[in-house]
Formats: sequence, structure tokens, C-alpha cells
Amino acid sequence: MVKTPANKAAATFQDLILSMQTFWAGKGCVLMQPYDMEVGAGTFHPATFLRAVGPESWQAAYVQPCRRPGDGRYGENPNRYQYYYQFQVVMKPSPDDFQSLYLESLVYLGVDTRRHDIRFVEDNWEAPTLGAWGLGWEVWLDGMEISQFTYFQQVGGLECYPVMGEITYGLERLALYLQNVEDFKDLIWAQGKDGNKDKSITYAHVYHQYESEMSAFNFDLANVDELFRQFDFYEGEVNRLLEYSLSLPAYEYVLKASHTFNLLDSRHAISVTERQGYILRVRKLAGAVARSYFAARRELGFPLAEDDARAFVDGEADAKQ
Amino acid sequence: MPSSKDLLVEIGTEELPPTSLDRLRTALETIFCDRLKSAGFGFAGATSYATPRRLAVMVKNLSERAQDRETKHRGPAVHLAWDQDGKPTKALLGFAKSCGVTDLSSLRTMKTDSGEWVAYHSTVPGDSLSNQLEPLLKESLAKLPIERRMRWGRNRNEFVRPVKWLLAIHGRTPIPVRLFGLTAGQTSHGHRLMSPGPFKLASAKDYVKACWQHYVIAEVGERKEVIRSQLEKILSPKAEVVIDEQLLDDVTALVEWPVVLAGKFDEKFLELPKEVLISAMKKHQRYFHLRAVGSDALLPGFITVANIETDDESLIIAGNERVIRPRLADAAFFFAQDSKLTLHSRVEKLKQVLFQSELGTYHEKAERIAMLAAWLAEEAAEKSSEKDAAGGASARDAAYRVGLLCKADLVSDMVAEFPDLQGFMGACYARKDGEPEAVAQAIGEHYMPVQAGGELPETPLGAWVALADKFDTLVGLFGINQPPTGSRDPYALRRQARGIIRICIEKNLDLDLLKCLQQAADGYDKGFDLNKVHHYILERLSNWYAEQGILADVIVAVQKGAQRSTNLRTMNRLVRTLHDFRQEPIAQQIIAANKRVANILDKEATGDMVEVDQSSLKEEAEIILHRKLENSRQGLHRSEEVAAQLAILAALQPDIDSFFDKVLVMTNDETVKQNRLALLQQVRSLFLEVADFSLLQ
Repeated sequence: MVKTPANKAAATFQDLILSMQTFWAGKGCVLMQPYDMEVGAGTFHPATFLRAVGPESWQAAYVQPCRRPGDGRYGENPNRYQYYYQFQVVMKPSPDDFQSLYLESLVYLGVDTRRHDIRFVEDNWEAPTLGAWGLGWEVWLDGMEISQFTYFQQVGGLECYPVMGEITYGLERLALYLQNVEDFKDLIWAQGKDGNKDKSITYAHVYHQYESEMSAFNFDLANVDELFRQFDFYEGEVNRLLEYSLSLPAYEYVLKASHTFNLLDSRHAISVTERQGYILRVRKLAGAVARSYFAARRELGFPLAEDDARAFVDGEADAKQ
Repeated sequence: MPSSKDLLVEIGTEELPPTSLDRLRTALETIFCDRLKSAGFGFAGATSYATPRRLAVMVKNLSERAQDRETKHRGPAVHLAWDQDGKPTKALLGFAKSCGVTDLSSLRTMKTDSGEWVAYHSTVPGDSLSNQLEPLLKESLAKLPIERRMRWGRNRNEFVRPVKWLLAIHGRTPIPVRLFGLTAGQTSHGHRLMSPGPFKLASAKDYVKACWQHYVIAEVGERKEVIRSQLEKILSPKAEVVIDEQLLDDVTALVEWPVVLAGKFDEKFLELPKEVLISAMKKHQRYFHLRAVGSDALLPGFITVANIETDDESLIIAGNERVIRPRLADAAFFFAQDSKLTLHSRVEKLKQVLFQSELGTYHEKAERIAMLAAWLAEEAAEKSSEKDAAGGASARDAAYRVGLLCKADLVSDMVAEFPDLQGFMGACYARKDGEPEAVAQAIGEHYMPVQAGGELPETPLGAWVALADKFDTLVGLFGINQPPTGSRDPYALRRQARGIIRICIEKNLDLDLLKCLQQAADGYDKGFDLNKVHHYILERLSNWYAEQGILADVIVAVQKGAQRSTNLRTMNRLVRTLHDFRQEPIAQQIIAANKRVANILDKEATGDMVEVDQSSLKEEAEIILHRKLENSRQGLHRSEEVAAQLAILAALQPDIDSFFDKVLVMTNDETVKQNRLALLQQVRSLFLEVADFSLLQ
């Protein structure tokens, strides 16, 4: 079943990214760039995690490369990679037509929503290391999970109000579908010059060597002893930086600690009995950072908040003190 | 007679969680009807509906107005209400004022057991439905059994999922209820993609039809049957769909307009164990699987239930086929990875897996299970007259081996991905490692029964290890004082206790419950108290019998019998025979006689057994009873069958009756009286050898 992509909007992987940006910018999102640190999901980007804290309104969209060392398959699995891309959309407060906007984005990419089976299937989200949870769905397109939809209820241990709504698209999976291929490797990243198909650059050209080398690193060669030392160092830095109320630099060290934990986990260096302890340590850091960030924004008068939301959250915070 | 019409309330939402959808539907119906009733509204039953995007309830012939309510207020006692001159007292005037009554003649009197009182009867006129619907609905929604409520946008209200629209219509009249910042109207929404946009509902009674016209099958049962009949149509001479009811319920809760479609996967994946394939299809994709007609063999295909009718099904099928391939490829990857290590070499890794923080790791648990299973094998072998193939020392060694290996698959990649394959994968890998077939099979059986009424281990080896695992868990968790509560049972202790009961009884195992518990406690060596766990298992036993229509008094009667057996198999024989016996005509007389004997003894006897002095027996009836008692006792001891024992006891009935008819126990002659009490004591102790009949109802 060979077929050209239904719509030029997503003919290649890079077209897909460009189209997503155009679409969501048109819906009022601030286009951010990927965070330049190792993260496990677009949620870790401060434009999601920290912006979910406090009463301030916020709409943003961005691509985020994600690293999940344990998911590496040496580039041999058709759709499981240790490094892949998410497209992240956050809207706070979550709009009433959030689901419709999402469906509209699929149509924009060329998905005929009248001829495919699109479903919102319960999948609640919980990030133990972030002290965060929300309720929502994974979105199925003909049985394939292409997006994750979440209404944040709590982040860093703090109640979310107003609620941030988050859409996370798995870009490669969506592209598999849009380009009608079976394997990440075969995705067209960029069209060849003058539309010459033989000159196309594929996902494999861009990333296959990286996947295979990184899988070897993640599973066999990452330096465990040093990583343990680094984890302790990052943890110490978070606490030290928070003494100066520097929530943003402190947050970067939370990310470093979190990624280090993931690497140790993929090296099977953390026993199941110790695992929970490490998760709790990261969660404690994330919680402390969220509280510090909240205090800093409050100090600034929550500049991006609507008046009623600010008044409500200030009132709650006062009542707590 | 106020007019009554059907009321339809619909709450439109974003997609509701499928596993709780039907529970929410029934709860909404029950709670809302309950609220309506207690507010005085009359109606003739209700029906409820649920789809992923709506919960609705239809109340039939609901009155427009609640019934007037009569209230009675009690005032002062009549003799304190009027003074000697017949004038109202202060107490009466105060009461009248509190009732807002100026004309004292509108007060009445009421009589109660404690005297005559001044009273005021008033009638509160019933409120209208349009006024009451909002508060009643609000209360009902607040009471729904929602595990986790959520908020959305800048709403402060909470619900299962964001609420998108409200519809409330009584007959043809909308009721503008306000909830979640929305106002109810008579507008609903059809299928999200097949019928986008709102539609107007003219009348409550048109609801189901209107939904259907907009591609929504609102009724859960109907939707389920539509799916089932489509699934059954897939049947061909070669292939049939395996319909898992749980999966069917799940799928029903995920669609508004079901369309059943069949797809294929690469035959090469059939090399994987079929349970793995089924799990991958069911758990991740909610697919039904296909098998060859008349065989257990899986076919390389799947059935999905889509939520849309399109002009070209092949697009959706192709999409699903593309999804299942990497899923199965992943399973094959895990299988290959796992096969690199033997099960035995994984046992060591269990040291890193916590069973329970106070009870240690799975490694420790595996060692305890091994010891306990070996002991159970020995116990069973000792008692069994015929030694089976796996009897004796080899049975003990095999049980130990299974115990040690049975948890090792918890550290395999496959079980990490598909937890429901635990046990099964262990058996699979054991076979690959060349463990004896009996060992492999028992590993696969040791979690059984995995659900209420589920299959039991087929082999004795499987039964011993299944028991060992369950005893270990129960004794451990009760030992650290973490028994299950009404709402929390994280270690499924209820199911484990039930498993022990069923295995012992249905597999006909001759085991003493207390000895087993003690042996399990010895494995921990922490001096655990066994009282509570023993009591808990007996409580689950009563519960198990109750489900089979055997009443608690039969169980208590057996437990209070002289044998005080803690052998579940023995107890079961007694309980069942006694239960059957009770249906017989003579049973009531025997129970009555036993109650009479027990009553007299409770009042008069010291409780000590006293020998009957034959020479002091005067009346013929007591002499006969005494002689028969002796014969019966010997008969009872010769007989092994409970039914035969009951027949012997039943045969005593005429003599007991004639004793009570003709002999006066409470005579003035103290010696004769004591002798007759001693005789009754003997009657009682004879019956007690089977059960305490006086406790039967």
C-alpha cells in the first residue's frame, strides 16, 4: 500500500514540525525552542513544569527532544528509541475547546478525521520524580497512540490553579502514520533537492548511528560510580542554590539529577529496593524548586495572571501562612 | 393529581474512564432516584445511559411537584397546657408562638405511651421539580463514587472529567439547571466525528432514538450486544473470535458507535507462546483474538472495535495492523532477552525485589515458600495411603524446587511488560531450561485461583506451592498487623484466603489449618500471633459457604462441636452433610430437642460430666433412653460416614421425645434429679460429637 502523504503539510518530518508550529502559533501559543538539557519528556521543559505552578496564564508550543536511556533498542525496534521528539502544547487555563483544537490540528496535518478511528482512551499521568499528576487520555489513531492529553492537577506537590492543559504529540509515531511507513528508520526527514526521492534524507541517515552508539553507552558503558557521585553533587547543588532563592538554576540541577537517575536505571545499577529512595530524592528537589519558583513569581506579583486567578491564589497562600 | 412526565438529565463530558463508566451510571441512577424519593417526588422507575461522552438518567412519570409534607410538632403535656381556670399556660402560649399559631383552636392533642400532649400539625406544600432539580442533582453528583475528581480550566468544581454540556428536560419542558458554570437546555451532542455539532431534543422520551440518529447507542447493554453480534458474525468455518467478557465490557465503554473490524499479523509471531500474544493484543490494544475452530491454536489475526463507521474500512484496519507489529516485535525481543538467563539464575536477583518492607524481599519469600511447600508435600504424603508417582522424598524435593523458582519470573523483561503473565512465563522459561515438566507446570499453577471461582492447580505439586505462597502472605501481613480493610486489600488477602479454602476442600487435602499456619509462621521466625489470621480464614469460609446458600448457623454448629476440627476437609464434610440434613423433616424435631436439653443443662447442670447411676433410673422412658444412648455411642464410633452418624442420632429422637413426655427432670428428689441431668448431659455430648445442634435455627 504505497501512497503519497495526504497533505503537503506533513510530507516530511521537518514539514510536520513546521506545520505544528504554524498551527499552534496561530492559536496564540508562544513558540519556544527545545530546552538545551537532557530531559525525559517535554513536561520537564520549564515552559511546562514551572509555568504550571501559580496562577499565571500561559500558552506555549515547542519541540522537545527526549531521552529515555532504558528505551534504547540499538535502532532495531521500528518505533522505540532512546532519543526521540515530542511536540508539546500547553494552555493555561485549559480552554473549553481543547479537544476540538487538538482534532483541528490533526486535520491541519492532513488526517481525515471522518475516515479514521480517533479515540481518547483514559491514561492518567503521574510523574513520581516531579511530584506531579494529572488526568487525561492517550489519543489513539487507528489503534496507535499518537498523543498524550493531560489536565495537570498537581505539580511539584502544589495544587494547579488554573489548570494547565497539556498535549504531547509523539512526532515520530505521528509521522509514521502520515508518511505511511512502518519504521522510524524509513521516515523522510527532508525531501531531496528538486523533489528527488533518491536524494531524500531519512530518519536513519540522521539518527541510526546515534541510536546504536547511545544504546551501547546507556546499557553497557555509562560510568556507574561516577554517575552516583554526580547524582549526589547535583542534589547538593539544588539545595545550595535554593538557599539563594535561585529557582531556575536549581531546576536545571534537578533535571541533571533526574537524567543521571535514568542512566543509572538503564545500567541496572539501582536495585528495585533502592529505586523508590532515589525517586523520592528527586521528588523532594522538584517540590522545593516549585515552591521557590512560586514564591519568586509571587514576589513579582504574578505578572501574567488574570486578576481573579491571582486574587484567589494569593488568598489561598495567605490562608496557608 | 399533578401531571407527571418523563425526566431526562444528561451530563455531557469529555471521555470518561471506561473501567468505572458503568459503575458511575448505576450509581447516578440509584442516588438520584433516592434523592428524588426522599424529596417527595413520585415516579415510576428509571433507566440510565452511559457512553464515553455522557451519563444520563431517565425518570419515568415523574411528578411536577413534590408531595405536601405533613409535619407534627409536639408541645407541652396537656395537663401543663391549661391552668386551673382553663386558661392557656405560658408553656402553651410559647409553643403556639413557636409554631406561628394565633388561634389556639387549631392546636390538637396527641397521645403517646408517655401521655397526652398538645400538638400542632402543619402541611408544607411540596416544591416544584424546576426548583428542586438543581440541588438534588448537585447532591447526587457529589455522591458519585469517583476515585479521583479533577478540575479543569479556571473551574473550581470537580468531576470525573470536564463537563461540556448539560441537558435537563421534563416532558417537553427544559429545566435550566445550573451546574459547573453551565446552564442546562434541551441540546445534546451526537458522535464527535460522525455527527458533529449540537442537536435539539424535543421530548425526554425521544432520547434513545435521537441519540441513535446522531450515531450514539446510549444504552450500555444494547451497545454491548451490538458488538457481540458483530463479533459473532466474524465466525468463519475456520476461525472464531474468543469473546472475553471483561474485554467486551471495556470496549463497550470506549465507543459510542461500534464497528467491528478484523486485521492480521505476521504468522512468524505465532512462534511466541500464545498467552504472550493474547496479552499483547488485549492489554495494549484491546483486541479480541482469533482461534482455529475446534482447536486451541491461535490464528494470526485480531479483532478491533472502532468507534466510527467509514466508507473505507481498510484504512483503519491497515493502521491497526501497523500498530500490532512493533508490539509483537517487542514481545519477541523480551522473550529472546529473557531466554538468555535460566530461571534459576534469576532467583538471586529476587534479592533486589521487595515483597513488603517489613517482610523482606522476594528472595526471602521464595525460600520460605520452598520450605513450607516441602513440609506440605511431606504432610500430604504421610497421610496418603497410596503413594503417587511423585510421592515421598522426591515430592518434597520437587516442592522445594518449585517454591524456590516460582517467583523468579518477576525479574524477567516479559513479566515487567505484561504483569498478568507472571507464573505463566515462569513455567515457560522452566521448560526451556529443562526443569522437569511437573516443576514447570506447578510454577505455572501456583498463583491459582487468580480470580473468584477461577481454576485451581491441577497437580498436587501446584496445590502445595499455591498453598505455601498464600499461607506465607496471609501469616506475614497479619503478623505485621496489616489485615485487609473494607476498602484496602493491596495484597489481595481476601482472594488468598479464599484460595486456601478452595484448594484444601476441592482438592480434598487432609491438612490441619492451625498446623499450616504455625508452620508458615515458623518460616518468619518472628513469633507472629496466629489468632487473627485463623479467625480471618474462618470468616472467609463462612462467607464462601454463604455464597452457596449454606447459612452461618450450620458452620457455627460444626465449629462448636466436640471435634473442634481445624481440618478444612473434615469441616466441609460435616457442614455439607448437616446442611442437607437440615432439609429433612426430622431435623426440626432434633434441633428442638437439642435446644431443650441445652436450656435445661445451661440452667441446672454444673457442666461437669457425671456418671449416670443406673440404679437410680426409675421410669421406663429413662431406662430405655440410657440403653439406646450406649448403643448409639458405639454405633457412632464405628461409623466413618457423617451421614450414617446423623442417621444414628436421628434414630434417638423418639426416645428423647418419650423421655420428655413421661419423665419429670426437676423432681424434688435431688439424687434422681441429678441423675436425670447426667443422662441429659450424655445426650448432649453424644450429639456434640457431630455438631452443636442446639445452635441450628
